[in-house]
Amino acid sequence: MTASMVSEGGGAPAGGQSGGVENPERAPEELLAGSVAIVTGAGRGIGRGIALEMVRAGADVVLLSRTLTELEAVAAEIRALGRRALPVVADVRDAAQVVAAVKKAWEAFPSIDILVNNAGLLMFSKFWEYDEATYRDIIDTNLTGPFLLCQVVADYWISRGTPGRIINIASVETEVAYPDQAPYAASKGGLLTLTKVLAKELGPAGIRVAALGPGPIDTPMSQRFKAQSEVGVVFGRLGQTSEVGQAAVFLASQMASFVTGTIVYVDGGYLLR
Amino acid sequence: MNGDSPVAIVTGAASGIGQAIAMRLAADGFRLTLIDVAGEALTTTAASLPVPVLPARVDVADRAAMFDVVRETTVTFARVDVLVNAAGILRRAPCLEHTLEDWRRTLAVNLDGPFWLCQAVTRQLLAAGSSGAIVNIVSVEAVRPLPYHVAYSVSKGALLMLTKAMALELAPYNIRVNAIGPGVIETGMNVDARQTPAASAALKARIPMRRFGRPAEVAEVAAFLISERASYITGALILVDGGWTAS
Repeated sequence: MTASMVSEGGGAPAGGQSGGVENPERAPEELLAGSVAIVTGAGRGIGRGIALEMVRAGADVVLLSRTLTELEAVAAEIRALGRRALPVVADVRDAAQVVAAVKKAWEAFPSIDILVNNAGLLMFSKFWEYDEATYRDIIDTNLTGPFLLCQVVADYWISRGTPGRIINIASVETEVAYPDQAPYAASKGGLLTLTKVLAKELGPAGIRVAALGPGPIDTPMSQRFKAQSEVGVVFGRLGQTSEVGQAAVFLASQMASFVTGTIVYVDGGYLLR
Repeated sequence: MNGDSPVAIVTGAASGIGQAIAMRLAADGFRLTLIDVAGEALTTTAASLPVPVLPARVDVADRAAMFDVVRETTVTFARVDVLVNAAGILRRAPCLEHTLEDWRRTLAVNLDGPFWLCQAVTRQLLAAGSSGAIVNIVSVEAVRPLPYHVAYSVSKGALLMLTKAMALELAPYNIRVNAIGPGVIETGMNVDARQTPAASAALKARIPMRRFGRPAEVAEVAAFLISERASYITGALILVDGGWTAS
């Protein structure tokens, strides 16, 4: 097994944004006021960026990952912003841990209305060299984990008759292929299809399900191919985790009240090449 | 204050989705140039908005008129930041019965007009050295046709590709170009189907959210794509269809 592992992560600061027009009248704080979000893989990288942007939009958050020290650091940042954060350690590959984590989250925050499936695992290896354990690690983290979380969380919403929103973090790899990432690509393609099926099944219950497709974002996961990525992006720069976070805020908010079963690419034009 | 406010040009602004977008951008403080062929409705819309408005009763298919409108906008407001192409027409007929006039007129309004305006606005943005944002209202039919809509579906598929082509060329100048794909939205374009009980029920059964969309819900997505919150999004299509395309 020659696969090298880069887990989702990174704490790149926000900045360098352009090409938009400031909205002078509506404060972003309003968008998720009163909401509570569960964010998986929230200790670093895109997950941390999403959690922070949701907090800036007025939400409280449940931070979920396998690594307590990272969760506590993000929770401290959030509390410094004046909002509540609950770190919950769980491995999304394990159904029993998912059930226990969601139960713990609901006891602390009975009004959870947003689920963000962000935890992801990316590894590189020739297709024919992946062993079964590595393959399962990737599929279980990126696809089975979101499936389990959606099941458990949607069950809470449906049994209480409350609406909710699910955002699955997919990838531009739902559209384009890269070598040496076969299980990752398959997991992300599966996650987009799962998004569509759940949108159809949960739509009548008032639950929206949508995906985000980040392109190359400035995180440790992208470091090893940072140089190639910048060339591929028509914007000529990597995206910031805050930019993915702001798109997640949009999808979770009332601004996207008729958006479900689809994917929004946040890729700086990557898919145009 | 108004003199520094950003400026948006919105087509099809007299009714439906274009009107909702004009209202949403006005609420955000944009000064507006509003384009439509329906003069009276356009005047009414313009008068209802609490911001400076330049109404233009012109046909978007008229290339020279589009360049004139953009020029007039920059003379009036001293800047332009945003373009929203929402004007569109639908001619229903089986594909074998589509006339040359149906075909040409549909493409002229739904595709040519947006292209002329993209050209005119981009020239202005490049001359001013400004960043900007363009939003083209396509349709779910850009990716999923409906029967008897051949010219419309083709025009929307082409407008989506125009969006991507412009996004690719304009990214180096920080001009973002994106598309919105509305599903069944409560507008005059589909009022007949929505008001026929059997057709309405059949349509809703196809929509996972079990309801039609409101023009304001499309306007919210346009406001997002125009804003700084979408700073890393270009060449994208956001479907606003209650799950229509997924199912």
